[in-house]
Amino acid sequence: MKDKTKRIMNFRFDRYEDLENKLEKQAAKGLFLEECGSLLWTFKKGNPKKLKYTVTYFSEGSVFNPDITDNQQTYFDYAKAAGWNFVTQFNQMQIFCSEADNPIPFETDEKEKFNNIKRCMKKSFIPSIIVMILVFVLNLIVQFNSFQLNPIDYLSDPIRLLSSSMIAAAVIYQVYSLVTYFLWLKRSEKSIALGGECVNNSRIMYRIVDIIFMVFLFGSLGYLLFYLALKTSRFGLVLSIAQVPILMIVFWSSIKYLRKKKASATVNKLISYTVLILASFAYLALLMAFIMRFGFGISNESNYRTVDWQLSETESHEYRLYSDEIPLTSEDLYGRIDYNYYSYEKETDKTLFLSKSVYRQDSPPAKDAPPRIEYETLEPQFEFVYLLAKEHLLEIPEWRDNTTFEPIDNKIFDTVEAYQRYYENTPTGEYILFFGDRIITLNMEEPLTTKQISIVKEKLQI
Amino acid sequence: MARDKYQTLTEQMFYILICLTQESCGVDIMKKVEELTNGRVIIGPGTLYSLLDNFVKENIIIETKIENRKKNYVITSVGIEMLEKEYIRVTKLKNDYEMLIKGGVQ
Repeated sequence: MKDKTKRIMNFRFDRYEDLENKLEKQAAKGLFLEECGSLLWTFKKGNPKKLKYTVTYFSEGSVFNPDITDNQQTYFDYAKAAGWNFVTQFNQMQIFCSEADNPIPFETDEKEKFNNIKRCMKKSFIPSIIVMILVFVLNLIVQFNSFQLNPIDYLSDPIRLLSSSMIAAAVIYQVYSLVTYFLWLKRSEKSIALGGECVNNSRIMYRIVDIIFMVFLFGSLGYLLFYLALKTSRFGLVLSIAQVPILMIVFWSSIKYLRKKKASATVNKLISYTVLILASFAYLALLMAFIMRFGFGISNESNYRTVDWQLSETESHEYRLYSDEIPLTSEDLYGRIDYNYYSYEKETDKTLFLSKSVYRQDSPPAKDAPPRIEYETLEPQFEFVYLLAKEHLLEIPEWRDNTTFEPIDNKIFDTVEAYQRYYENTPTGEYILFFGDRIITLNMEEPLTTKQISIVKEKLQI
Repeated sequence: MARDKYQTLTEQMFYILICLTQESCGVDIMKKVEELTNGRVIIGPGTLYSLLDNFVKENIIIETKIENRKKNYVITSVGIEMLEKEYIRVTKLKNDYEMLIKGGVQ
């Protein structure tokens, strides 16, 4: 198997000239195309040769076809008579090569060539791009919805921000592909009407855009994997990110297997799509089960122990008790507390927009449970993020008419603006403190006393 | 009957139809056209396939039989009519040229 090599080929289905040039360059280096795939292409190694390649489109071609169709065979026969040998195909794309110095051009009528390309692209290239755009846009809508529900969580989560920007980049690239294709179509139509040829679609500008996009995509993907592998052990997230590639592999394997078994194109299409749909549901179920059992995973940096907690005589639940360093503890506020099942938890997230640190000291549910405290520091990096966070924090759902945020004196915490939550006109231990460049929320069981306030100010360096 | 696009025939179309006044297969057409025109008109395999395919769809030619996997075609009366029209058109061009350019000079 050493005489074969696989290469990643970044190609655009409609850019036949780019592909011809690439293949000719490979042949000059001694690499001859044998089979193409959606990303990995197989080349055979040999002595460098000057070969001419031509990439054409055959409207009957399909990845689901078990064999070469009769019409396709006729097409190949004509090609052979003109000195063009069939190499391989991918969907409607057909690749031929010739050893002749000046072979008969594959297409000798530009208008026919143009109409053929237009017909073939309408059949596969355009629908597949539109489907991809729809899937990605749907995903972005879901992401935007989660941003609206909680802009603070969203803007402070590097993974979510990165995956959204990757999806957004993919949408932009797909739209760009469509636009450049239609521009080519328009220009070629004009040129042919004036007796010219289909215009060149291999441009330096296009190649630069492609390279930028690929670098961004692979760079982000690499960063994402690196982040997931080293910083956290969020298997749940890894599983959800791996979803698309895994499903694609299942889909392609089904197509390939059925093709080998000589199933007809219709049967292959039907079964492969059914397999894809079933696999998507199965994967989703697996993911759900995994997340329900283990959660999204936790930060590697946390150390914790687990306790089996008896909730009632028949029920028990496993709790994680963390022992992170947190700046302000219940002991600071309420004095010495002897309790074996306290959990001290710290979660920090930082992005370009916002850093968020959440601190929590709590314990599994019990009648004699000691006081729990929770507080959060937000450091927005931009004015609009600050305003978004503020709006989100002070928002009270319409149906909750028994609770309000009342402004409190700025002198108490040396704030720019400060609020305390009231429940049915009674003050609670929930505060939102706005400073010039950061926001702190405090969530205590009881309103704080003057002495406790000074402890909070000291510990949180207010 | 969307035959507007064949109002005037390209040289390649013209010679394909000329060849198909005798039943022949695609590969033979390619060779014959090259011979007939001394290599002046060459038909690429992709173009040949689409033209034959379109001609069959427009009933300009019909498929006769498949021999050794090779499809054979022959021209129909519609095709003959088109050749005739093209002949008349080109003749008119030739006559006009002779009258207006050559005749005018003398």
